[in-house]
Amino acid sequence: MRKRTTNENLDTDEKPTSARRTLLKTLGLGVSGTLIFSLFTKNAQAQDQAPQKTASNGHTNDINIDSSDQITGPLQNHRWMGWENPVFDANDGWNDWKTILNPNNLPIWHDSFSEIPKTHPKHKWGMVMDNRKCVGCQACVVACKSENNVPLGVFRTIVDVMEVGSIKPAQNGMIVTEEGSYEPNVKKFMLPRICNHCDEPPCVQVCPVKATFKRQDGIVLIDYEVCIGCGTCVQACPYDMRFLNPIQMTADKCTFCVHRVDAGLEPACVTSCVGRARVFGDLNDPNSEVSQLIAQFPTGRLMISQGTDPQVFYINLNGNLEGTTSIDKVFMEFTYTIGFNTTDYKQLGGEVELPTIEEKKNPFKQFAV
Amino acid sequence: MLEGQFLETPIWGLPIVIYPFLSGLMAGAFVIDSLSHLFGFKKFDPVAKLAATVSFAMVLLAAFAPLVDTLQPSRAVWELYVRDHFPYSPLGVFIVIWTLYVILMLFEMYFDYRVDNVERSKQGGLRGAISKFLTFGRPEVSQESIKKDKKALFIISAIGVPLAFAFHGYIGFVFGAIKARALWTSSVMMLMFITSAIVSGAATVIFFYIIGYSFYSKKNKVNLETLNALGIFTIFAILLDLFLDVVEKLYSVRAYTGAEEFHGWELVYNWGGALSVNYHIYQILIGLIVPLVFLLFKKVRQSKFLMLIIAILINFGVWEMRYDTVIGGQLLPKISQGTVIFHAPWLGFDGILSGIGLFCLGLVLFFVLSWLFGWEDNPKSQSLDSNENK
Repeated sequence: MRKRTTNENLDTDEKPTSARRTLLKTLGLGVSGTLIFSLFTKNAQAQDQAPQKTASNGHTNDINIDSSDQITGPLQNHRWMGWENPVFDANDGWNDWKTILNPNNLPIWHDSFSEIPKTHPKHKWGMVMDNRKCVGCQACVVACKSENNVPLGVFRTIVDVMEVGSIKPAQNGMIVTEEGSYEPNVKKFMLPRICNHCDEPPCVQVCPVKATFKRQDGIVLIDYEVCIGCGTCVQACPYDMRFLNPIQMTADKCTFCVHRVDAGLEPACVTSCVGRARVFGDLNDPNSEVSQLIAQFPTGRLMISQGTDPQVFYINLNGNLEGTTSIDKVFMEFTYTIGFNTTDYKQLGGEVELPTIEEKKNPFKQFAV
Repeated sequence: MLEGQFLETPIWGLPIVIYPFLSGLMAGAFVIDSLSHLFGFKKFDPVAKLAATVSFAMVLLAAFAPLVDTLQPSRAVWELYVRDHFPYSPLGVFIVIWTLYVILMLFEMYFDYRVDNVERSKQGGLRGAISKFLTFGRPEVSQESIKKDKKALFIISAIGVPLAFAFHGYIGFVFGAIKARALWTSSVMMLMFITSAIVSGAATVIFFYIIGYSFYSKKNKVNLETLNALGIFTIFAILLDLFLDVVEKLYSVRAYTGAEEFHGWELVYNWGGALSVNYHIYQILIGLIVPLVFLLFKKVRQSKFLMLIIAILINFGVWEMRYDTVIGGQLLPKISQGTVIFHAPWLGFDGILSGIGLFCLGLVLFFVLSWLFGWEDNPKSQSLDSNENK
């Protein structure tokens, strides 16, 4: 079995530089000291960039650092320049799931999440949903399905499109029916939803086999090789953003596109968003766009009363949707992503037909020459 | 379940309904068994071994139902043992308590049937050889050894009753502790599970007692006094269960609960709701009140035929209680609107066929164990007991 909790290398990345720096300062060395210091710090930076992955997977980590101290290759990341990048490069197989989940890359937690802030994590990934800018185009849903190969019928992200407000009977109203005329006072409201990567994730705590875990940088992930598919985490998620994957037969959910994030890219839904309604970034970095947005605008989060401390923030969130105990959400009309398996869908005239997923042995046979 | 999985779907299907039902039989049957060993209810002596056999069969089966529902059952056994998540996960607790309980039941069965096995080992043949093996080299039948057995059974029962309650209580905890499901987060959930487990366990013991001893037993017959005592015990269990149902009903009043749970009750359980008939008619009326009214008459309690029907009704009602809890809780969506529609498929992991298969497996297990240890044997002591009672 792989060891899961490696809390030993939490503070190792900071200690060498600071210790040497204080040593040199106390010794009072002048120019020569700074030279030596710069040499040491260069090495130390290289050490920082290099992950502590040695024994468990046998990979050696070669990061190309030029003479001009410019990091090249996939590690380069303009967006987060000034902050240390996650330790991954393409040569080390960042698309290899096992390597991504290698606990030596980042410490992971199954229970004591309160320890995470104490360890001074480099990053804390979060997302801001700017509801002013979301047009409900569903591009993010398609991009996510394409990027992560999500099977038919299940979603890692969805965008609820609903009409909020009321239609009241009024004289000379806009809507005229046989029964009378009505005055609408409604507006379209879009609610993009993903896994909230909670700071106190209930899904992680209920897992009987420790298959799901929280990384030091805040991303909640599932080890698909350990998950037994019991569905407890799906029940425990208050946001209904977990599902049972019918192909790989495990629980599944949004990963914040961890393979892209570790490679220095943004999640697929963020890059595909036409209105920049989804903003991804580092909540630890006060200059990052997410931190700036959270600082400048009032934000809401979904179901805070559940005590999960979600890390997805909404700007201009309809107050009815914040609380879990608010029944007003029931009176909203879901227009696009209504659950096809609900009574409301039936009442709106839809027929409940459950499509089956067909697995063809040779799906592209017709195109063969 | 996997076919057509849309935005909100019941994730736990029939196997998870069957799982608390069967493990409830286990816990209830063990309580009946322990009443004889622990508290010296002599009237329950004739059914003690039967109850132990039912309990043993059901605890073996109890592991299968959640395994059927997991999508990776081959992994589950190993991972649950090796990577437990003891303090938090109810399913992680499952494997610990289940293992302890199986070990306990092995001891229980050994001491319960040791004297029988010694006698049967004299017959020879395959069954004799098995019985000889099952004595594990203690062929004594002296009074002292029997006394030792009784002492051991007393200790086992003393450990087993809390363990059985824990086993079934944590199943209530699995549901009651999940805060995301508004209709599950009830403080009486655990107690309701335990109480209805006792009710169903008693009914199952009555069922197998009447069927087994009227048709398959050559030496003993159904003791009407025992049947009467079982009936009286069931009355008290039903009263407790009804009380908790009233508490749950009060819990769904607007003043005492959150908006979501209140509306959920209206949408799912109250009149016009998705499971209103299941809840009010099947679970409460047919499952509890009708049997209670009939059981109040002594003539009914001593009638084999009527008791058989009552046992079936009670088990049906308890089955409905499990169904209403497990499925009903999932019919209230977490974040979208309306109620979720549940269709139990015929095929698949949590299909109706796998449910039927689980029940059949339970019957097979019970009959194999009964063949192994004997329906009624213990020819001497038990017939003496029944004579004494007469």
